Amino acid sequence: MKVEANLLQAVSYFALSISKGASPLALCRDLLIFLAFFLLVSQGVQRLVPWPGGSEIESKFRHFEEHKDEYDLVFFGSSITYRSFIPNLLQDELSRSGIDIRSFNFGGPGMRSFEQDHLIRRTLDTAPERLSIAVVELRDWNPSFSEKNAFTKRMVHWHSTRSLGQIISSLRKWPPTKTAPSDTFLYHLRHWLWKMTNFGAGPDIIASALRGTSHSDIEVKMLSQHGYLALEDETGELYLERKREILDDPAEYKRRVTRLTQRQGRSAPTHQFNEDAIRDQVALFSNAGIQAIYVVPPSTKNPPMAQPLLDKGVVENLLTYDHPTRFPRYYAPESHFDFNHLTKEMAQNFTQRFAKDLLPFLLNETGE
Amino acid sequence: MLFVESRFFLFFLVAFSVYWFISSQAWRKRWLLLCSNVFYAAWDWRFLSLIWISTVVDYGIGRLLSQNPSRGKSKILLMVSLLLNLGILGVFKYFDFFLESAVALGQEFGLDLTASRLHLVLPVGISFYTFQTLSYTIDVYRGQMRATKSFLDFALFVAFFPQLVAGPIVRARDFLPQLKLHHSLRKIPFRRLLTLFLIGYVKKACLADQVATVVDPVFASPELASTGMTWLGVSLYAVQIYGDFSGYSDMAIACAGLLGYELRLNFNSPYRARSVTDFWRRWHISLSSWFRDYLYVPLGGNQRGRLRTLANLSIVFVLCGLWHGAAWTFVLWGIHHGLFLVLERLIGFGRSVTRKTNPLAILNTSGVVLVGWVFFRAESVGESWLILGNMIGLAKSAGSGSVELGWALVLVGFIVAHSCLRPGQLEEKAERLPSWTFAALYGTAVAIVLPFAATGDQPFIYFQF
Repeated sequence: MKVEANLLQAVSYFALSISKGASPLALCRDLLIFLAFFLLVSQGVQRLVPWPGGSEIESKFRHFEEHKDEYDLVFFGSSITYRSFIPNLLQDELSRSGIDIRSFNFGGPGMRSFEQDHLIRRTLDTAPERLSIAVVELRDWNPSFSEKNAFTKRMVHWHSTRSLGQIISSLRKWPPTKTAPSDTFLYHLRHWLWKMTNFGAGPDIIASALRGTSHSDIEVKMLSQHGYLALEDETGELYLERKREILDDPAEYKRRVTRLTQRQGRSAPTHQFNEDAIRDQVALFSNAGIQAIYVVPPSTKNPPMAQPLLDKGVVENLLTYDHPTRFPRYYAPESHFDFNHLTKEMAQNFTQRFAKDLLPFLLNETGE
Repeated sequence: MLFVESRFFLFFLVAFSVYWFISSQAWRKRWLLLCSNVFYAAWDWRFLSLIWISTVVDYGIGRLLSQNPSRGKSKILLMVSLLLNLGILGVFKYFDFFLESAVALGQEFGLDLTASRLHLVLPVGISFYTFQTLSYTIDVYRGQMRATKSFLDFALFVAFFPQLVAGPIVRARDFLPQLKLHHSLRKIPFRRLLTLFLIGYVKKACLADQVATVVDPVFASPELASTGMTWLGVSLYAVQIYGDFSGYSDMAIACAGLLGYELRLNFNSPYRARSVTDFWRRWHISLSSWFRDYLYVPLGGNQRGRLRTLANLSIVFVLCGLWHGAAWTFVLWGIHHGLFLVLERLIGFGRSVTRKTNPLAILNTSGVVLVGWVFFRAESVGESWLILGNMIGLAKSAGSGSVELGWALVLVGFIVAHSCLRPGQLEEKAERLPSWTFAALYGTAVAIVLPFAATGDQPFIYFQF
């Protein structure tokens, strides 16, 4: 908090010193006018041309925006959601039960709860008419982020004032980490300032205003499958390397699964969720007339222990698949493309299973 | 710490606020000296020692010179100052260059020479503060100014943070008298200075750093650039170096002004110059006038016949090239400018065309300057020929690549703005505005400017000189 203290001190000195040279009232008036115009123009620019997301999430959002009234269900989550839920297959499975549901997968690599919440709000802001169900992956609300992604367009993109507030409230609860809370706060404050000022976004804003959105071949393929793409269909060395990790270190994979099995029955840590933020999210869905179903898909990447959320009534609907003993097929090494993601074949199997689990909610929805 | 970094804004806010909060001028100066040292230490605290060595020695020599020693002693004292300052500069900046050049020359003559390079880090701003301290000693030696009694004043003159690392090169006779005055916040032309700072920020962060993305590939792999792209890259480099350096100077002048100190104009629309002679009256004015007063004139200037004048010009510009960097490309750049200055003297061109506006003369001068920038920026002498070959379509290796329209428009926009706006024009208009109108316009301008700032922290080009 040293930097903040310095800043406060500097501001007070500044005000005191300036007031010696000019009328304090005039100075305050001018500062307010400056800030008002600055914010007005900055926010005006953001309203006209949103901050460029610069990632496949943005491509998904643009696509959804164009087809917003065609979807009944959306999936929000990380790459685990992205690679696990197949909208086309879900539609086929549900149609066998006489339910016509079109879904879109908003899952994105590295999506964390704060970004996910921001995306949910953006999505609902588009007022999609048909949307009646949101399947939301539950992840922890860890406010620490890697320096590796600092100040990338995507990181800056979701740093709204609301997200900053969520970060602060999560930070209060989160147990000590290597990074000091003040550093984590400053990290996010700087991202928020970038977002507020549109810092450095000008060339992208102009480019997106002039050219619109163009999609890469792989994005076109992903969008044609309503936001889903199997890791097997990805191109690039990175994905091949990820495939190798599970082959190279099967013992590590086994350790992860064992760890997951052993934690069953233990009490859940209290800090992992920002309950206020989740409550806000649930209320948001509810106000929009959308049924929110929270899920914990099969993954070995330390999924959160979500049952207490249901017990406390924070969420009304919860489906969890983080049990290697209950769902052994989803945790078999051959079912995984890499440590965290299902293979294409197992994703199909999982989507079929999920369709069955979803049916009761849909029947509730239709009153049947 | 760069002027465009967020931490500089915080630093300056503290420096500014505390400075004006203090009522005693002596304590204000102590505070500024402390800030200046913190500013420099933010880059590398170890090299503060070099600044302090120069400060202590030159202050001492100044004091000794003021005691009216004999002519012989005065000369010895001056020599000590020159040797020490130029010695430090030589070791840190030129030792490896001269060593390598000597080895290469020896090898040309069949001598099997080897040498161990020092690989020293070049202290930021060493060329600038060395020239500042030298100007003080020389002025005192010549009797053009009295040596200051105040060590604090002298130390602040050397280390004053707005101009410490990249100029403008301040003369002691301009700056030291300002330290005697008690500055009043009421007299600070805030609107003018804030506008100047924003203009400097735009030049540096929105122009120079942005065009670097086009310029760098053209100079990094000239063999891959087409003729069109090479022209665009070289032209945008002219924009980049101007934006970078004059932007820094603008911000330095504005920061100094906000603290009550006046620094002289360092750039006066240089690309509107009608001759190379005129260009050097407009480009890096504090350096060209330094070379004029402390090298060209002592060498005899234009008072010892035509041949001697031409020789003096050549010497000055070779050294001016070397001042910018320890590489043969800089020497070539200096020779290039020296050659055209000599030519202008010979045919009387520079004098005749500078009297009236002549678009052809401006175009001609721009061409000469542009070719000079190729030497200045190229990685090696060989690459500079390759780039020049690309520009006239001669190089066999000229690759493909179409000119990007967006960047060509940026260039056109720069030319229009540079041609239409004279230095100080916007600042004067800002100063005349009512304060609330200025606040509204400034808020709007900042909101428009920030999105176009380059996001990476690009160092100032002139830091390396």
